[in-house]
Amino acid sequence: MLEVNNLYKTYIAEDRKVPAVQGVSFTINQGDVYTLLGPSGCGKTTILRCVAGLEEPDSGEITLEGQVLYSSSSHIAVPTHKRNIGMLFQSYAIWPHLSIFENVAFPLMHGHRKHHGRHKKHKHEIKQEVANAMEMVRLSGMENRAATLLSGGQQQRVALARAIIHQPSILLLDEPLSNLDARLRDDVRKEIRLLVKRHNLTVLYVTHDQTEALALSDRIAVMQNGVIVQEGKPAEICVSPNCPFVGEFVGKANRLDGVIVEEDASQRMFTVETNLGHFKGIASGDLPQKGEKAAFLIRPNAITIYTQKPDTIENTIEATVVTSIFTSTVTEVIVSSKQISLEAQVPGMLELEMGEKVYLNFAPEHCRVFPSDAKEKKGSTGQTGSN
Amino acid sequence: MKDFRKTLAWIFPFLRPEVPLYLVGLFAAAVIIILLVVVFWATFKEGLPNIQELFTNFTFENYIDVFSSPIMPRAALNTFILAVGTTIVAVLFGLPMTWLVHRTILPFKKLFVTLMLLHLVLPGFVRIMGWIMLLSPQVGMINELIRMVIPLETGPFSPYNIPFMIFLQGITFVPSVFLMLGGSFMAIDPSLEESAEASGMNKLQVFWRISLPLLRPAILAAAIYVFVTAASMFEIPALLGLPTQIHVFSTLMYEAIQPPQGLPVYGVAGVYAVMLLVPTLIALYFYQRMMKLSHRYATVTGKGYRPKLTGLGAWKWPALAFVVFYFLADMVLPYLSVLWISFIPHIQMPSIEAFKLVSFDGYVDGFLTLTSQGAIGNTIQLVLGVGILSMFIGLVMSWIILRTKVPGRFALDTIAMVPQVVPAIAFAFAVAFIGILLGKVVPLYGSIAAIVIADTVRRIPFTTRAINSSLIQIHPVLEEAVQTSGASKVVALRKIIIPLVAPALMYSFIWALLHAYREVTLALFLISPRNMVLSTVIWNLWTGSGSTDQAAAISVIMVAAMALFVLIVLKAFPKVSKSLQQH
Repeated sequence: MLEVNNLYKTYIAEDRKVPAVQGVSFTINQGDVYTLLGPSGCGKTTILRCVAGLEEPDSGEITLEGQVLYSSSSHIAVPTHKRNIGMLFQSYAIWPHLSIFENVAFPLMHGHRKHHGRHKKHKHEIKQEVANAMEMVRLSGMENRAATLLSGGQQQRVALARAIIHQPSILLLDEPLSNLDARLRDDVRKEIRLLVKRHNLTVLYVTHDQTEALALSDRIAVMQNGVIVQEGKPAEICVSPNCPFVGEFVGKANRLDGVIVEEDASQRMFTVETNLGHFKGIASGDLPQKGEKAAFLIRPNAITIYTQKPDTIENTIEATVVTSIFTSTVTEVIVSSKQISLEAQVPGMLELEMGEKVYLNFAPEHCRVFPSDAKEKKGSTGQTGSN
Repeated sequence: MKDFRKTLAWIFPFLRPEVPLYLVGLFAAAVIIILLVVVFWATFKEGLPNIQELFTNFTFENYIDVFSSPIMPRAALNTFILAVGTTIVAVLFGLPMTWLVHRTILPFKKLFVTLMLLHLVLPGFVRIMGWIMLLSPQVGMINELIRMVIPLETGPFSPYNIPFMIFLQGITFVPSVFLMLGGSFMAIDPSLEESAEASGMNKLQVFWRISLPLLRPAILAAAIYVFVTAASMFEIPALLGLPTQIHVFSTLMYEAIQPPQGLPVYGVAGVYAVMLLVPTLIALYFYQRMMKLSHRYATVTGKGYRPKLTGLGAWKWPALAFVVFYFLADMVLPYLSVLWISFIPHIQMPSIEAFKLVSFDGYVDGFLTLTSQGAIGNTIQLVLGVGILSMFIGLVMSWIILRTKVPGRFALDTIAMVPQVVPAIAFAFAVAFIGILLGKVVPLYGSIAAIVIADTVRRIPFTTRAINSSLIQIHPVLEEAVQTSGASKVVALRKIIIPLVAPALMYSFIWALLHAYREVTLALFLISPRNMVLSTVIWNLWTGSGSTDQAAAISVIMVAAMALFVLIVLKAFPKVSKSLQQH
């Protein structure tokens, strides 16, 4: 179990203070994959590096399985090598002059946990443990190859074996997939998910990729400008974002700005007047007031496209097709109405002419209404550039 | 209990395993600063350094002595003329040489580059001996040759004058200029020149209006470097100036510390050191500005292309003649003279009579002299000491500067570069001063350790930079991965960094070792019967007893041993030879 409490960290860059982390607290339960998700510069990597001890926070507390790793109030800062962690880096960090075996065995041979109880581990013990770890990442029998001759995906799996061989209390993953090409990324992602679940590992995962976050995590914390704006299960984050930022960052969304003209607080149903007309949607965050400025978010897959005028008038507008792109499972259509372009996603294949007149319907239960910029203003001190 | 220990470790970071390395860096920096302070300090003390009076009895006597001395103004003028002249000759030879090698189609380029690198590691004072053998008014071989045609008593040539000192010292700096300008010559974007040609300029105009202005900051920087170094050069003024009473600051300083008779006057030597040091620091200020400018010029162009080579046409032969003339004057003639003289008892031209006198007596006697003075063992101690220490300190400095967050690491970066600009003889002087000061407590004075310290300090800027440039290419994440694997920063240094920067370490070690081997000036400033090395034995034989054959024979042994060593290294460590070629 990892507890991070009220963490602050400010960088000094070119005589300017850059607040990277501004009071972040969270708890990761044993066996959970916890993801910090956010755009670059939101402070997520800084938090991970503080947990690893590679950066020292300004204040706050970090506790791992009851052991205080960092505490500003009681002046504790355990050096990195004495923390029971394993870490996976974006650039693999495979030592090029060592063989795969030497890379994976390094924590057992040189780490402070090399002593098993009071005895130094025997060679055959180490060999056995490396073999086990290699099997876990499906690289059995490759121990004696030069690490630099492996592909990116294989190198990252070696790094994974190295990160877990000493049975750390927590595994820290710093955008481990972003250097891999798209197909490999899917493979390694599945592999990581299977591995951590099978071995009940506790994981802190940092990424800017919402697909990775949704696929891997038990819990997600969405970060912006050094604070966590929303935390929850992947589905919660996806279905019920609590602010426009989360809604737009996690999953695609079309955003229209307007004013609340009608409210039904009991159903959380609100009507917003926008440039394109009046639309109904559900508030999943703070409740807006009537007359207040509001943001109206429409998920691309909540848009239905009709070539004939549909029966319902509610949440329906006229638009022209700008372009349509067919991918293997869905058709992405860009439409435009009154110079505002919207992205729609419809299942299967839909053939549309460029410039064709269509009707769009936004299902109210899939549209979200937020008071404008309620949470965005809070930490909008600019990009922190800490990633 | 456990928590208590952790609190302790947080309050006293001294308990961390990397602390001994910080202390090494701190110690090296302290030595450099103390030596620098001592130079100034010594100028306010009279008589022999005395530890009881270290903080009392300050005086301006030394300054009064120096400034009222009748030879001072003349020496100041000589120092200045020699430095300016050297700079002009070095650029006049070095600039065309760099251009010919890097930008034209010239035959034997590889050979020329190799010879240039060879020049840097050969003992320079042996070359001066060779020229004296050729040009000495009485016995010089070239003079003898001329007198066979024109009947004269002595002469017509003599090496003992300022113009020849300027010439010889100037061509000595050509390889340094070549190395400094080489990078800038390669970095000129050919499209800048091609677009000028396309605008209708001829080749000469392009060179004059485009290439040269682009190179101006680099050329000025190289010129300032030569000027600063030449101002405190000792070997040429000592061998060619002292016999005819031509003094410069460096030779006056030497005579103050190692007087032919009487007691040494350290304070006076210190004043000369300060007079060399202060202008140096001013010149350095301009040097850094130049380097910044040349950096700006270089970044405009970027990299990744090969400069266009110009055909020389009919100019090929004059160009080759120029290059060959340089190598004849700089290496071939003087070293061949030394080789020839090593086999005969007196300096004379090769002739049928002379060949009858050829013997190995010089080698036998020379070897006996070496062993009787313990010079071989001392030399090995010296070169290994300097090589290992400069490599190790360079590594620690570089590691602290680039890979830790210790407060003050930027100051360390600056301090590590100080010996680059402070004249080496000033440091040697400071070591001698401290040696006497410590007197009976620490047997530093006159020991081989004194030379090792002075020489190591001199090499720290080079080794630090060489290791920096290698270390900077190793991604910090490789070390972070060690720490997250549960091993300390020291393990990361030992298991990851050192193996990965090994070629740079080896290169630094060999470079420092070779320089300590060829160096005579520092060893002379700290000389005693107990710390004779090859170079000081040769120097004493040459300037003292007049055993020219012994001096020449030991020089030949010295160069041959070095050549053998370099060959072995190049064969054994192909990676090092690669980096040698790059620098």
